Amino acid sequence: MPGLGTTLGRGGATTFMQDLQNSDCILIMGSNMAENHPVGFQWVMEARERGAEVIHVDPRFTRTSAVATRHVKIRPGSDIAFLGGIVNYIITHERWFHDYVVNYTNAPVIIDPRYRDTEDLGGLFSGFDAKQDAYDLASWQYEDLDMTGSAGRRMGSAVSGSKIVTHELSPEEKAAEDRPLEHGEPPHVDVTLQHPRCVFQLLKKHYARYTPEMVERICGTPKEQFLAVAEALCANSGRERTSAMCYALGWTHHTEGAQTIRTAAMIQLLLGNIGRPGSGILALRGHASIQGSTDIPTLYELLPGYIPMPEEGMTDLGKFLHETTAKGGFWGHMDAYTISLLKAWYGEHATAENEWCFGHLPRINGDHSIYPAMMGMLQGTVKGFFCIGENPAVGSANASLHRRAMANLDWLVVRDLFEIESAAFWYDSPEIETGKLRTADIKTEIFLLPAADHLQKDGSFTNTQRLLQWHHKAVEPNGDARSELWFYYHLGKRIREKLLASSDPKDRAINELTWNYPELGALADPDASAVLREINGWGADGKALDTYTKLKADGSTVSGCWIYCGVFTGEQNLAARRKPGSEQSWVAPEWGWAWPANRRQLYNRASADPDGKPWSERKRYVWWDAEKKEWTGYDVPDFVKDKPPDYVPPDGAKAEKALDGRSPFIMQGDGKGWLFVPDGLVDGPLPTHYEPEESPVDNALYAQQANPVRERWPSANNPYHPSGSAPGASVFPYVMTSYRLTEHHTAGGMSRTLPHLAELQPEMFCEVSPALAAERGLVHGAWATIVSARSAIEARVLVTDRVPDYQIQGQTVRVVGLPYHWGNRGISVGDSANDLWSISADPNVHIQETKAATCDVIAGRRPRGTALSALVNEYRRRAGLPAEE
Amino acid sequence: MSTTDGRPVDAAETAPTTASYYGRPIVKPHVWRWYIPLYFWIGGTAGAAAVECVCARMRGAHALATVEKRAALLGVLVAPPLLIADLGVKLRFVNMLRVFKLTSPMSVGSWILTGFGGAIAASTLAELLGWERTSRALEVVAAGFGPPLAVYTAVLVADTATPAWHEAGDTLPFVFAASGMASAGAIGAAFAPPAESRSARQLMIGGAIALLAAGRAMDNQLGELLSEPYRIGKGGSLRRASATCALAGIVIGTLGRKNRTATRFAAACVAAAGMIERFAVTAAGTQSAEDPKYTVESQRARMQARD
Amino acid sequence: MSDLYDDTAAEREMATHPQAEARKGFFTDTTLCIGCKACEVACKEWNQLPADGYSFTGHSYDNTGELNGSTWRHVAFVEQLRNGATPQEDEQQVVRADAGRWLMESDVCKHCTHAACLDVCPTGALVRTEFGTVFVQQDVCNGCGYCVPACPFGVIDKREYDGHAGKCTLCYDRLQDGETPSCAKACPTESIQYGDLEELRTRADARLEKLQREGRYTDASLYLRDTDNGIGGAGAFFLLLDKPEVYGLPPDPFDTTRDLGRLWKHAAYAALALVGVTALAAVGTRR
Repeated sequence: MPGLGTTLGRGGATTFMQDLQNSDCILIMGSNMAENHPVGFQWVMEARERGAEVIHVDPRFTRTSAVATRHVKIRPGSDIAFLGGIVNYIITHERWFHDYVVNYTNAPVIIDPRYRDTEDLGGLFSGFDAKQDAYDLASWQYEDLDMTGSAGRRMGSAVSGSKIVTHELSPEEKAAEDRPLEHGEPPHVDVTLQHPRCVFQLLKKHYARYTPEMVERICGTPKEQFLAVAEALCANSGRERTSAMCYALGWTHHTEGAQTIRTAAMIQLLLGNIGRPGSGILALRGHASIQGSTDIPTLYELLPGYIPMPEEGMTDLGKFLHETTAKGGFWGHMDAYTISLLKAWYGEHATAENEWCFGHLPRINGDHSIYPAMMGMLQGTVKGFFCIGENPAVGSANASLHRRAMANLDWLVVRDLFEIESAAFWYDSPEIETGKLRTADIKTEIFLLPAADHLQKDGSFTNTQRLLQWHHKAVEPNGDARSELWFYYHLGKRIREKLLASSDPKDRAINELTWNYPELGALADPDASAVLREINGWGADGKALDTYTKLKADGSTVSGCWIYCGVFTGEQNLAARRKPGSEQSWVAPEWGWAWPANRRQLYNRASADPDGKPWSERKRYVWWDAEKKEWTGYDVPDFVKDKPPDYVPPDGAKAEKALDGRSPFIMQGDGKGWLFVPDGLVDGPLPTHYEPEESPVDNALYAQQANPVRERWPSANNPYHPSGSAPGASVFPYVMTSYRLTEHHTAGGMSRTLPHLAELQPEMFCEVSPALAAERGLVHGAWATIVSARSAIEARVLVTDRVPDYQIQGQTVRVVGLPYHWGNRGISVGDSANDLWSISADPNVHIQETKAATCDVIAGRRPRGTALSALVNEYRRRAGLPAEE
Repeated sequence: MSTTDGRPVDAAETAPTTASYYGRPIVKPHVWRWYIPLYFWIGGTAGAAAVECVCARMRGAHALATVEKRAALLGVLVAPPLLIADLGVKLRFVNMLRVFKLTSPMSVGSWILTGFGGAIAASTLAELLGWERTSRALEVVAAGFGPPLAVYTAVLVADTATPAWHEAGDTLPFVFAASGMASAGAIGAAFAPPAESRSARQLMIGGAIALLAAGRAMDNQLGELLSEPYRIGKGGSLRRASATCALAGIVIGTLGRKNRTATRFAAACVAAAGMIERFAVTAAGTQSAEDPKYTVESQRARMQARD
Repeated sequence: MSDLYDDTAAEREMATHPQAEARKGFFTDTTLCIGCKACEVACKEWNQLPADGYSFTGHSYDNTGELNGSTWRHVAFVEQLRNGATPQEDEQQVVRADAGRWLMESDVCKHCTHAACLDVCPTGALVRTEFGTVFVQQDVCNGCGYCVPACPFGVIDKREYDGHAGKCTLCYDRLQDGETPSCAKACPTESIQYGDLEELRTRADARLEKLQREGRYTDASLYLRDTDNGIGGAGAFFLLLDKPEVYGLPPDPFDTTRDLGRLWKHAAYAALALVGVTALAAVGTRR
């Protein structure tokens, strides 16, 4: 999410699935799209049938590979090396889209002279603090101009666990912070792209050693295959042709996940593949509404609409706005968005005098994501847990540790459709079987509450292409089942009743909330469309607003999520629109409503050249109508509608007015796509190949083995394998990777419990190459035990040629593939792959690395009871790790 | 509750060769239980017995005729319950007479069985009532249904996609006819008074010889590949058992023809041979359906011969 | 009897059907199949069929195994990636675009023009509908099981749980409401295409021609599209990328009724032989 957000301005897919039919080349990487997005995949098929190349780069030959025009193998965890190799290819062979790059990206910008690259420092950037394993980002800034990122870690403060280091600003740095853009431009640029410190040259230097030979060594991808991919992308880019990329968790579930996505975004910027038909990056989000769960977030560090959560030390609104408001672009209106949000939450109580109840918001002072929270459960500092529509007992890395953590809680609330593993661990789990947990000793008070499913409630999904689609209640829920909306609303009501008489100032944060949706029907369901209307917001006249540009910082407007403003235009629920595709243009703008402003393809100003004319007739999308003096086209223009291409910002212009008419990336502080990210990502301005936490090989490019800023929690319960040439690494000689199957859904609660799905993939299995099977004596169809320092699981064996072997830096590397859906509850039961993984995470998004690690495999079923611990401890001993606690 | 048998999957099963899908059957084997091959034998024997009954009547061998007729009646009483027991929806057995369909040997056969059974039952009733002429006339009617009853089941079996059945379609009726005749003869030889049972004995031995010969002819029609199920596996064992019994019956029945005990023993052998052959055919059919090579290779050979 | 065989052809049967419409069918284009099994699930859900067993087959991703009385769509998976090397030799497996493929195919009842199951059904439970499809009337079938070995594709089967024969109905109930069959509706890539059979045949010809012209899927062929085969052409036909037997389909299927005349003839000979031998056995026994 911040990978795209910092590069382009918004953390979401830049395009929409139907647009793939216009692509001349589609690269699917870090994704098994046909497997996991089968319905959306029809658009890839459409493109293929129109003659597009469909390239699938993946460690295995999957159902996507089966229908792609080309499958290319890649070692799990080496994606940045591959993508960096493409950057190298583009620059070496001068294939970048010059006019696009010079005008629409920050390629010409000159960076701070203090900046040092990984080429200079053995794999580190300037500003690394070895004691804190974190960077001070100051030296990455534009020369003489301090830019705020559009996403990620945007605040200058460094609270505990924030993974950045700060220092007292020097006078020059203060000046750089205060300096605005000059007529939309940073002070130091070189449009000839020759200056040694301009972004373009830094890029060239950074990827100079990412040659095709190096790609073959690191990724195990035969050189001619890699070159075919690079050439296909280049040949299908430019004025007349566009290429798209689709990615998913194969890129995000790494300790350098955000950076991987950034590399792809950089390639697309270099090739001019953002904002144009058939271009872009389709971030394939997995669940029905996971895009929605970051838009109106269930994430601790965000407020709705990607406003950052205030941190410790941000005592007043002014300080907060100072840190987060951008110099240019629409993040320049952070005040309007924040204040409108606070008005939505606190209504009449939020006034100018009390800074709109800004003081009521929590302040974060560390990493409060699920993994530290789980560590807190183990330590006893986190006492209660709402586990809603989530199944960490199966779905989280080092799942066994989660089960033990939940056994240490005082209370646990699980809301789900079935009694999932996370609700039943206290009497039915591997820990009960091995004796690590005993039911009689578990003091957790567990509340299992039945949840209504999507047909039993009104609401919306926001899908992978930012599309809000309303779903209507079709039947009443059974028995006591209730929707999440009902649950939180009525829980809040009851808590407020209890706090009504309180005089404790901190309780005002709850008591002063607006909490008054209409209640419908016998079940007193809160009216979901009323909630949507509040999210959309209204103006001083109480009427639903139609655009976020009307949000004000004077408290006269209300909006629960500024990026959704417009979904309730004209008092209509536009998310509920269902006009058939056959009755409208191929863009289908009247089906549902997409954020922002119903734009389907983001950054579409870039589909026209600096003068506002389409780059070519074939790739016409949005253009400047000189007569009407406005932008027009097949989609809602992602630009100020009447800002001409030749607009030059006057002195002192702010927010979007500070961007000129040639800056398509309107959320970015300078309106440009950021090839180089000075602010927002804590692990570097440029993506760098690091090995995963656990790897069978050393980093071939740098002395620095893995991401120096990655999150780690080393402990006896979460030990990491040695990697590369470190002693003990050979105890776990295989690379393991986990993934999904079409037939099952995440942790299996909604698929292993249904007969029609359970029978399609009835057992946990592993996929191994014939060579690996021969090495370990695995018999096809029989059992294998996969071992890590965390646990050991068993799986049926599927010996298949679809899992290739790799030659990496002179050594043979073999891969074990593991679907992760299984747990011990349901019709189809089995061991959980996530029991094997350690917890290490991307420092920007705290997402666990479950796509690449190491393991061993032995033939036969796993030991039971205490013999299981004995096996794991034996492996730990051999790898030089301490025994289990 | 997923299965955990962990049975290692045979490599041959899983490596898709160019000729099959994991070694899985292409056509489905029949789903009949043992009631059905047993019925083949009982019905066939009853039909042949009715013919032998009339033949005996014509020669004045009334005791033999009566034995054969009682055998036919017993067959008629046992056959329908056997058939009904194998139905998935037993109460709907009446639907067997819902239509008369020439493309369905089972439909045609249901009517044959009904006609035959009705004639035998009526004949017996008439006999009990003392209406001799009516009874004798009905015996002739039954004997008219008899041969069809004995051979239609071969058509039924061959009118499928089961390779070891369909491709034996020209010769299988002779196998079934022989089995029926031999068994009917065996019953007469065992239970009729020796003075009248000679023709039955001769029928028994002749039928047994015909059974062996027809079996050989069937193998020839099938050819090397498709006759394999009659050589290997359960089909092979049963075929060999049947042939052994037939041979024993022929030898003992011939050498011991003056001896009642020997004759009875031979009759048991021949009857067994006739019954076991029905099970051999059924088992061989299953084998030929379960291994896809029989379907694929025979069809490929036929395609090649056409081109 | 050969007249009888002709009369069993779908067209003739439809000609006598009081409500006959244009014949409907499926064209399944396996070049578009992504093996998602939405067809299997949609079929079971619509027709309220039970799951029929939870067993890991090890046969690629196919744990369904076959069509039977309660599985009316079955997706086959055939991995063809091997370069022929042994594990020991194959140290560096290179999966080349031109050397590897994974075939996927959604199998279904063929709704034959000459349908053996329909021909042999003794109760008349199996009938030809006004859409030209083959349909089991569940309130007539008595579970005799004869259709099971008769089908040249091994499709129809007798169910243990209710004793009936069962197979794809081509969503007869949905067709009667002018709806598309569930599987075709659910298929995300339109690998399963539903429509008027004649139009589908034309479409399939055009598809094959397009693939050949573009040099793609050069192994493609249309299975059971033509009418000059042993079943007179299928109501559900396929575009396959390898020999039928690779998918578990018969290379030269036929409706057994084609030979029925000959079978009855030989049975008649045998019947005469029976009478003759019985009579002969009485020779020398006249008292």
